[in-house]
Amino acid sequence: MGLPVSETILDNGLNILLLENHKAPVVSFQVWYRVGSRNERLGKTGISHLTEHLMFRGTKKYRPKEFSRLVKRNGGNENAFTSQDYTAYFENIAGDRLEILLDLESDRMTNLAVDKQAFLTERDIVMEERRLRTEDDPVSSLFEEMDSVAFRTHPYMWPIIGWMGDIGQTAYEDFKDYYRLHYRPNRATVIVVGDMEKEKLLLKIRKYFGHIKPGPEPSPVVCDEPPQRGERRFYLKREAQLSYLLMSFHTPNLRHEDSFALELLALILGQGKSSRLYRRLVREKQLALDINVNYPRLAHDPNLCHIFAPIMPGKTVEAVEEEIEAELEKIKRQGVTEKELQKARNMSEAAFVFHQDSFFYQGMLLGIYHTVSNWRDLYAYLPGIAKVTASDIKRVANAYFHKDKKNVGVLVPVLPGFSHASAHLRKVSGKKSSQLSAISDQPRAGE
Amino acid sequence: MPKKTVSSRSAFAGRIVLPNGTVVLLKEVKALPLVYMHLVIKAGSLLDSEGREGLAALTAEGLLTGTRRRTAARISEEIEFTGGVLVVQPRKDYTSITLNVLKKALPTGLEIMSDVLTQPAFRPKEIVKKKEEFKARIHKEEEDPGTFAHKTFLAELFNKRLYGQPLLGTEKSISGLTKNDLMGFYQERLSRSRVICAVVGQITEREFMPLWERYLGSWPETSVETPINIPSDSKGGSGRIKKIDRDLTQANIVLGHRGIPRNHPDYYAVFIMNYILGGGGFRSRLMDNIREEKGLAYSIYSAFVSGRYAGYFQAVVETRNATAGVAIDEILKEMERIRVNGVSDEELNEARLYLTGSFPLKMDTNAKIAGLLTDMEFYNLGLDYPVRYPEIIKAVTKDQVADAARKYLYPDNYTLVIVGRQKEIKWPS
Repeated sequence: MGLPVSETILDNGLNILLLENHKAPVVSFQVWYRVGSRNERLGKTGISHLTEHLMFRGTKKYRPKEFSRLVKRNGGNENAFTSQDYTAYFENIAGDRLEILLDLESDRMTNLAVDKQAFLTERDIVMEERRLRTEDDPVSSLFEEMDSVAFRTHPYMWPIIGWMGDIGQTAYEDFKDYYRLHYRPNRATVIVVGDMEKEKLLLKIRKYFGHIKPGPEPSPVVCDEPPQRGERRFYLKREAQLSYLLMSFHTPNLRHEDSFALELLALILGQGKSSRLYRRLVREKQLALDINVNYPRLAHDPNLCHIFAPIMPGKTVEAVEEEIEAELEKIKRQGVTEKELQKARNMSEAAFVFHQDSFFYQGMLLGIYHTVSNWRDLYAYLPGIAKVTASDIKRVANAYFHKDKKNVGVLVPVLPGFSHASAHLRKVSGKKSSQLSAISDQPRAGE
Repeated sequence: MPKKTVSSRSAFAGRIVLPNGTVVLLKEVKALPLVYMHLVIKAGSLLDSEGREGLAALTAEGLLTGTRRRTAARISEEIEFTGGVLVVQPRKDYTSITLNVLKKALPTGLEIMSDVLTQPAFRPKEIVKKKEEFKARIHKEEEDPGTFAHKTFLAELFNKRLYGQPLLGTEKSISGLTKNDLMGFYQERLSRSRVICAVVGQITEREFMPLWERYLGSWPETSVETPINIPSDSKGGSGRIKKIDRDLTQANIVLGHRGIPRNHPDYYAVFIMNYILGGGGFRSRLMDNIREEKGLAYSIYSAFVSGRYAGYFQAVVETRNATAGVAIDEILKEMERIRVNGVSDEELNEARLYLTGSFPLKMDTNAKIAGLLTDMEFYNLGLDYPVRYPEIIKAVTKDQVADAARKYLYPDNYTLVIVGRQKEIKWPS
């Protein structure tokens, strides 16, 4: 079968994936590096993400701020993201403005020149990011805690952004070594989706990236997570308005044949308002405000399938957990109906087409697939989904959603003003503090 | 039958005005077997009266809780079986309904959409459930410091009315609402307000109009919308600081004041001025100063939020409690600086290049095109707006940008909300 993507590997090891599409006069240009928090070590967690930030701090040729300035002047939007498995940089831009990006991205792949002061400032910014996204966000803290409880040896146990202490002690030299090790053409994939002519573009990519020297392959991350033998449970007490339940199970990734059945099982359980858990917990019993089931099929190593629920005020986490258990048991015993299976297949197929509407998202899917496995697996997705039977679903439910392999995290809300963490900051009176009791108004000049 | 308006060659999409006032905008995009529909009903939560906040939102979301023929569960089951997505989103200026389906599922999707829009049941049992859900969501909004700070800012700036009234209402206002209230709002407002319908995807006018006629042809005659009374003295802020003590590592700061409506003649000058001040991402002055130079924040931006009516200006930043004072001071300095010194030729040039050059990115997916089309109609921008846009941007002069800063930024009269550990917050002397 002819696949629409054309793949080239340069002599220096750089992978290139081009997908021509002229439905809109724009392209998504992306550079994917095979480095993420999974490549880190304890004590230096967060260094992949910090490096991602520093990639915007200039080279010898393009001084700090030049990168963003040039992208903007050409009408482009740029950003980057880091995950457990990868770090990716992208620019979405009019198709006729691509060349400047080839220069900018190939330059920072090898010539990054960040001085120590800029490094320290960026480290501060990342610490602010952690405060914003994790420290002051109880739900995000719950997920972070879950990873650290559910994994014993695998680097998926620490947060992508890194522990606060680790970020603060990452040294300038650590960053320089990390950059030199991981930012190499043989560790990267260039992806362009959209309005371009691929033969012409390939010549230009060769011109800009072809001369960059490859580096040694970093030693592989070896990490066999030992099998879980018994439930793990934790509680997190934080200032919050609702209680939350997070349940997780170790599941295989796309390299395993069961991953297709798990993908559909996750949809049947939690995707949409007609899903089993939504119907039972949100619609019928009104125990949860919402329900979310996330199965991370696209991960380099086996990762956690999450079932997450914010609890309705006045209802208990225990009741929600019991109902989720009951629904899982039902599927383990009775399986799912043909109609449910067909609905899940229809949802996957529709989503697959919806995703193609965005060049950026299409590039992102190729990038994830190619970084954790191979881009061809993207096109094996629908055939794989089509083969899943109802008995496969029953089997994987029994195999992976086992009681002894369950991890449970509970966020116990502490009302504002009662947080133990704030006890040293102010005297807490015995009376119940209302939400707005701490407001103070001060007139301003100009009033 | 549909009455057609003249479409010129520079028209970006087809526009059909139906006898009942509904405007259908159609853009064929052949690439994929998909159809995306975006319906805008010109009735939103601004119509909520005092004490009944949340009514518009409850009615809008109530549409999906059941019709005369279908239960809530059946609505979701049927649409999800096609792999499609049907969403109702209440907003302040209008109510938005989107349908995203594979082309083959369009008739099914439209039939369900039509049932939901024209035959809602608002069963009391479902309303009770929805009200409980709203109350939980109101709680959840308070949990997120950024959302909470923003909601508090709007309530303070607009004295709890207009854009300051809570979309979901309050626990108290929600409690009092009944089936009769919802049915009343539906009959008098939702089903009688003007409708804009954008359709984008692998579909032609000849294919779509019979479907519309079949499923939504019974949509009633719509009345002219009721204008909302906005006091004319609405400039600047409330001149107050609202400090809310929360156990947070960062102070969540929102500083701002009243703004201008989307249709204001100075809109583009204000838009470009704000792009340079704090709207232009990494190239903005606020980002450069507070993040890139001082490392005080991860996120810092400013925006003029312009709706049907005069909206607001806001600068938003999160920073350690200890550096909150410095960040606020720097925001005010930047507002003052752009007022006094205006912008440079280089800054204006760069803003123009970005805004014109990036316009194709605003219409590179069906959903984005549909959103652009409904905006074009809602704000009377004209069918040739995408063609005229570069000219509009290029016509804005440096003097106009400087004037916009002087006229529409109020560094001496604003509303400020700070959510964080108040005792740790220091003010620069």
